[in-house]
Amino acid sequence: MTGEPFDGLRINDPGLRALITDLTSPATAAERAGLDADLTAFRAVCRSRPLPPGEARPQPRRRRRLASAALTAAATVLVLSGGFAAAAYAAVLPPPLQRVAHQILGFAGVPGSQSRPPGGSHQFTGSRVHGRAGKGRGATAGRPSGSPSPSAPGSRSASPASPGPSPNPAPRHSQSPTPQPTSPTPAPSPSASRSAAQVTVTLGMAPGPGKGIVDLLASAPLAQQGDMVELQDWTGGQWKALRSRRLDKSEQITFSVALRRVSVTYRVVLLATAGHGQAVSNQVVVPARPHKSNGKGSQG
Amino acid sequence: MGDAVARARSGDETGFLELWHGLQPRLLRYLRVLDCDDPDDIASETWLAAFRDLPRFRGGDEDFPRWIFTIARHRAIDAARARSRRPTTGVPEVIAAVPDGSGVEEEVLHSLAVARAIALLTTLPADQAEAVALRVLAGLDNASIASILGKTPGAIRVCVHRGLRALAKRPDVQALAAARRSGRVSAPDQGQGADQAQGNARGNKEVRP
Repeated sequence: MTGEPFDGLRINDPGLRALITDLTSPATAAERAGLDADLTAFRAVCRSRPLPPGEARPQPRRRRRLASAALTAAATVLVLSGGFAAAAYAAVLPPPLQRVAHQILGFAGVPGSQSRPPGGSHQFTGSRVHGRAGKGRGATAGRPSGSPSPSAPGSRSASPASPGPSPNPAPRHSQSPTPQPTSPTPAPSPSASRSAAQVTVTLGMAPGPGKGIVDLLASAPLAQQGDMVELQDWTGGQWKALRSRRLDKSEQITFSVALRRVSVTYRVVLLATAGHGQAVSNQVVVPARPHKSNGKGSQG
Repeated sequence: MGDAVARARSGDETGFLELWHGLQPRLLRYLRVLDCDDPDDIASETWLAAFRDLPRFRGGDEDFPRWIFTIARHRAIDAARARSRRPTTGVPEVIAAVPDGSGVEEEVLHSLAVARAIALLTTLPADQAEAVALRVLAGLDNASIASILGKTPGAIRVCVHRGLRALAKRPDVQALAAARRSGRVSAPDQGQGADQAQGNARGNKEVRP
């Protein structure tokens, strides 16, 4: 308590001392009777008001445990949603989920199940022999329903490769262009089955011989000379075959393409043969040609 | 009280209990000096208001008694105004339960002694009674009492001095000492007031009835 009780007054009078002693005596039972009510009010007020900054309210153990569980659940949800978003952005989700992700996160650039070129920058390993092997036929025979078909309109290699009415009832244009080995395919020949091997094809880009031209270099080290390679670009939501050439003796082939007004995504498809299956290369984005006004050369 | 205010502010019940046990009896007696109809209710309202405003209270433990006695005084004034507008009829006081371990006789004598002391204090003029109550019961210094009552510290000092002198002149106050000496009235547990006053006194003035 503050100060001296009586401001220097000496209490010599015994009656006054007795009076002050009575006044300052400990609490009587009646004076202590209100403790429970005041304590209840104190608890209610403490529960209802926010804590001042820097002060922590003592929490019972059960509440701390609940808080810990809630924190763990929130972290789990965060990790799962982050993984879902990452998978959606990489377009590796199944098409229905990818569509849902596109509807939810489309503003952030998540592609739909059809709007993104399949495969991304991954290499596709042609470990499976599709259809009958042979010149000009392995490219379409047994091609999955969602895979790009050279027989599509505009495809230069459609006519010679078309095997006629396909047993595949799926539409011929790709809506889900990821190669899927689920479509009914003609049974591979025994020789193809025996000689099925993994081949890879990679696609690179280099400056071309002239201004506004770039070279797309396709390389398939495990393929053989003469194997057919098809250059495709992503146009109108599907892969469209542009031209086909055979590998040279160094298992390479170069496609020279002109820069367009917009950037174009290219890939090459190594058509299946008796010795290996079909392989799809990584994707290469050729940038748009620069405007003439700025006078700069082509990029990349 | 140590850091009782800080603990009570953070929701620690031990801080509240320390404050309550230290101040509640004196708060009730002060309210009785002010002639409140129901000191218990006003004291509860005072504590409730203190709990609510405790986050905004910036003082320490030394300032807390002045703050809570100020709240109590305002509540008592409000209650007196309400009583004047709507008179009520009092009911007999309910005898509180006597805690275990203490004799009923001692408890009754203790309560009677406290009631008699408060009754003697209320015989003073109102300003003197309140000043003495705040000085003795709340243990406030003259400056704090002056801020509560709206007077100067010098006026409070004079008021307290006159009040104590008037009390010392009363025969019934002298009878208290005589009864205490003869053992007819059991002395309650020694509070800190008189002894502390005696111990802290520097003796520049002396009350001689």
